[in-house]
Amino acid sequence: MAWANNVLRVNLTKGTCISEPLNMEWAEAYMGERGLGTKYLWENMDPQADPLGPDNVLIFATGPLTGTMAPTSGRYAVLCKGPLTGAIACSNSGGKFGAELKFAGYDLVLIEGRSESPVYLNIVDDKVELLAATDIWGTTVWHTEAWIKKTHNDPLIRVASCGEAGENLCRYACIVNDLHRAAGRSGVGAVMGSKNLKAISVRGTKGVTATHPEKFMDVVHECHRVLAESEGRKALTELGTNDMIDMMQEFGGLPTRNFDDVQFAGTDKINPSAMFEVKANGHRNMVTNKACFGCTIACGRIAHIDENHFSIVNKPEYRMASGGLEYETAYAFGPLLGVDDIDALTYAGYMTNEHGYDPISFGGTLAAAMELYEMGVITDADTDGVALNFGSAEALTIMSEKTGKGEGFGKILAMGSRLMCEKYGHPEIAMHVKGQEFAGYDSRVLQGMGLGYATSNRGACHLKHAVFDEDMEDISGNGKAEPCKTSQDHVAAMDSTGLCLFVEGAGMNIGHFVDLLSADLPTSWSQERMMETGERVWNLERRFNLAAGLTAADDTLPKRLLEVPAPSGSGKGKVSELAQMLPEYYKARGWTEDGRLTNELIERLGL
Amino acid sequence: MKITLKTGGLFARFLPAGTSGKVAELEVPDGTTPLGVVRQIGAPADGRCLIVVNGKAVPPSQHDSHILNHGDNMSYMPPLKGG
Repeated sequence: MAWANNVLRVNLTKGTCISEPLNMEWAEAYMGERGLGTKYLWENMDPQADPLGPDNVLIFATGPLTGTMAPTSGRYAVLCKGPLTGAIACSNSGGKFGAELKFAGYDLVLIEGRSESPVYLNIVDDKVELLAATDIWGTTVWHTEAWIKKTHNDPLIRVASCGEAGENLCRYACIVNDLHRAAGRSGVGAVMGSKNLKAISVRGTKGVTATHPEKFMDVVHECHRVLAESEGRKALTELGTNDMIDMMQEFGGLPTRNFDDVQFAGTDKINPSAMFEVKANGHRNMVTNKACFGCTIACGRIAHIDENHFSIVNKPEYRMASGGLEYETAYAFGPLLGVDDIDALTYAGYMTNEHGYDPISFGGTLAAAMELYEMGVITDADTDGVALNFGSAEALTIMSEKTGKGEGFGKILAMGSRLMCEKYGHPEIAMHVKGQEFAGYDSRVLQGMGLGYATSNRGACHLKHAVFDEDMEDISGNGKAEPCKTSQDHVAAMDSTGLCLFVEGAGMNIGHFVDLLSADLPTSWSQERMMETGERVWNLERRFNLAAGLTAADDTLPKRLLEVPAPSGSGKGKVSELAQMLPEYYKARGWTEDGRLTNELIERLGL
Repeated sequence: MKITLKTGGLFARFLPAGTSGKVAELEVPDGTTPLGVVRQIGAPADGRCLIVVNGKAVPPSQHDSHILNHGDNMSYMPPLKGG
């Protein structure tokens, strides 16, 4: 079977690493990755614990399809209580780390406590040890990965680590694996840093075996065929996710200058065409695309910066190819800040990968700081002498480095937009849900997206629901509650498999997942079982948040989206219709009017 | 009648030969629809694509019924998901 049947429990306070059998009852009910990780989190910690204290639990979870021959099977998730939100954090990543963890024989790694001194967890199949990280504490993600590979004399070791941002408890620090893939959101890297855990390095040689191997490979072959022929897959492969920027620009859903507008005049300078454009000096931003483990889509971008650009003209160490612009990075550093300098955006992307923090939340926080600066609330005296005007590529590059290293005003930006704007007495400027900043879709024209943002268990997030088709058909809030609820359950199930969500936009559907799981696992799966599993996962996440102290009042959007009409685009004149959608959503969920789970629901889902 | 067509992503390859960039002026039959234009240039008529006419999105259910007028500006973007 494709569960490894093994959980590694690490107690950093005691310095112990103990393997225990996977709870199969929970595995059958919650599948893996996001779902199973949520169940283990719920059973192993107090939701009211301090997110940055030793009682928070940090879980690395693979899925039953992770490490198999199924397309995009490199995924793993990191779960904990999030320091950015105070809510459950669940952030997943691609690359090769997740598959390697599964090859070593682990479904989950559960980290408890806090080490007295910096350590890293080294896993080589059954040999597990906590090793001193003194030599790499205070260094970057990139240095840490190279150091560990060199120290163990093994270039195939896979590393997931927190950079200085995590060590410095940046509220949106991420955990980076394979240099530029990340469990990016909600501050999971700060939790890792708070535990004095610098990295997990893993080498696995056990492989993964499906329950019905021949049947499994037949389904894999069909999945590969579908992906090969899909127009969506072709677009992702050739242009990457940043092709979305043109789509959002045309639609009028592209948040610009901290949501002051929904369209940005500079998209032609930062879109995929600009990435491919050969400049007069022969430089082209785009170098090649890159795939994660087992992926035939390869949406990842590898880019480089023009060596004459101001950001690196005196920094030869950055004259190399590394992770390039994806849509959310391009949006958060581009339109959201009013910046149209593709090299500056690429440089800031390097900073987020090298130092380990979330580009979406950083962009959202810097956008709020720019608005505060233009309002005169903060001045050059606050910002280390840097003029934080919208459109300033210099401000972006300087602040991306300061935030990564925890220097000067970067320490303030590391608080996230909610805490930063509260500090300066203007909470209304912060654009967030539950403390987490928005992805690149405006809720005034994408109404279902707004409902999804408001009700997302980890704060504003575009990846926990899928109502894009409904939003394109109708820009009102009518009829969005039921598809939002259904798609949240759907995505929760997909996130629990170990595959990448992007396969659905690239041709695969839930039927392929059902066939893969039924061939992979000992028991049979159906669409109904998947959807019920997703519903179970969603409601357990909600239960965690309610126990942590969140309420229905947290299921909301900033006033700017509820009261200030969109100034242009398809939704010109519209505001979010959340007030209409939210009660309909609670009803669709079977929750009480104040957003709580009923005893009947808890019993039906076996929570 | 004539319309101006702007394409996104990989769809620029379906614009008439000699087109520079992603925008072309097209001669189309009177009474044609956005989907009629898509068929005319031989591009994929995927219902999930985004079509915007004069700055306003046309719902997918109206891609083959919305009547275009002379001088309209139409954008045709691919069915991308992700980000």
